[in-house]
Amino acid sequence: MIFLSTPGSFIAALESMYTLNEQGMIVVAVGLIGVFLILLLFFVTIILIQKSVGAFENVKKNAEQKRLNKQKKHSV
Amino acid sequence: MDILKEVFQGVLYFGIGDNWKALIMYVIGGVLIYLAIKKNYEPALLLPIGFGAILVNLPFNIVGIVTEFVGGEMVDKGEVGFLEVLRSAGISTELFPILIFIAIGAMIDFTPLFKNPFMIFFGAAAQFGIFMTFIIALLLLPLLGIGGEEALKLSAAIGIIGAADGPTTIYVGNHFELFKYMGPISVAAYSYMSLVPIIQPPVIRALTTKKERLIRMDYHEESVPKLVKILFPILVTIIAGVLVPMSAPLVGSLMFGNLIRECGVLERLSQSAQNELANLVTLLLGITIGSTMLADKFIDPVTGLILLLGLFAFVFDTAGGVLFAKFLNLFLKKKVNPMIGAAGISAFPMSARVIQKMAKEEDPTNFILMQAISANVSGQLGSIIAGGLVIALVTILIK
Repeated sequence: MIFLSTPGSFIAALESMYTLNEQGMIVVAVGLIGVFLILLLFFVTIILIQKSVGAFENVKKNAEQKRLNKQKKHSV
Repeated sequence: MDILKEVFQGVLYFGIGDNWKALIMYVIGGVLIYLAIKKNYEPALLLPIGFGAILVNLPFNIVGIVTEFVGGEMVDKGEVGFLEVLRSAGISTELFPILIFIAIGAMIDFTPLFKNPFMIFFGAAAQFGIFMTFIIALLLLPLLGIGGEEALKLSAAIGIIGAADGPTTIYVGNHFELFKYMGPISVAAYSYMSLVPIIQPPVIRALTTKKERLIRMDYHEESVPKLVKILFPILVTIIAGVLVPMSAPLVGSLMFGNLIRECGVLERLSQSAQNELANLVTLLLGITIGSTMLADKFIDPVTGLILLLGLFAFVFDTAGGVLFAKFLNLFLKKKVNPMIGAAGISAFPMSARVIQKMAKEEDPTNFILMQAISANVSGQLGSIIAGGLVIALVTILIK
């Protein structure tokens, strides 16, 4: 595992250890998993944005409601 | 006699060396124009490509890198024509694909995806064909004498054709300096993109039962807060740019276009991006791609292999999406219509329309367009990410 210590040595190790087809298999495996993981991250992002914006809007609505209630009380 | 030769040098040109191949390119250009006009297959692209192919193969390549007849052979004259100027300014610099992505971003509405975020995974599954074709190309290219680094680079570009994403294909091909193969790669990418209504339905029918194609899916009409629509392009750009820096130009331009659309204060720019910019760049991109179809480079066994593998990638991308949906159905209580998976490719919005048309053919009251659009916009993201990852990985391996 020493060859994993720096990117340069990792690449050199890849080049020396694998044939062209094996390098291709690395691209396929890492690529497919990578696409799924990054889109999973986008999925999480969409959920988080929607939740946090929803919560933010609720807080805003509540504050507005409180302000209106206070105004009503004062006018009464 | 010499005067006659000088006057008719354009005619005599075809008798020199392999120049007769230019005549075949006129036929190919003619077929592309025919498909555009008569069959209405992506006419905005196929017509300029077809005409560009004819133009660049005219004697002495006056519109590209100009040649002349010296000492019994054709040599470069050291002059360039307008199509070569466009190629070096728009394709070599990756400017045209980037501008096209700004236009596409301004056209995309991510709202259906926000309502069905789960659909984003179809955008990943439908990239299966890219990687499958990559490995097959890597096995086959050495048979045509292409090996080592070049095989890795060319396999990457051939695989990306399957995403049905022309600009990303050009971006990958150009990044790896595959200028020799840009013609067949771009033509395959754009031709198959325009053939979505012909290629996808038989693949989908072969992999699904009638019962599966009849599955209905719920869709709730809810409004999505504007802030969500504004934050999404910004955050996606940051995430993609940090994790896959090579995808930053494409994701960045796509999301920039989308931000212009969603911000609500740049309506004029949004309309310009969707109309004027899209039309202008499509026009220039098409004819410039056509100009890469020089006979001596295009008429080659590798071209045949690229076209064949491109089709293979396209079919496998469609199959990957459908099979992924069927796999999910094994675990889901509320089943998804597996046809949706096929919309995970990048051909937006054509693929989603094809899926809706197929669903309607099976049951005229079944409406799955919005779900298909969700998968389709995810495919747009998925193909860019796949392109960026392939560039990054292949670059690491050949360093």
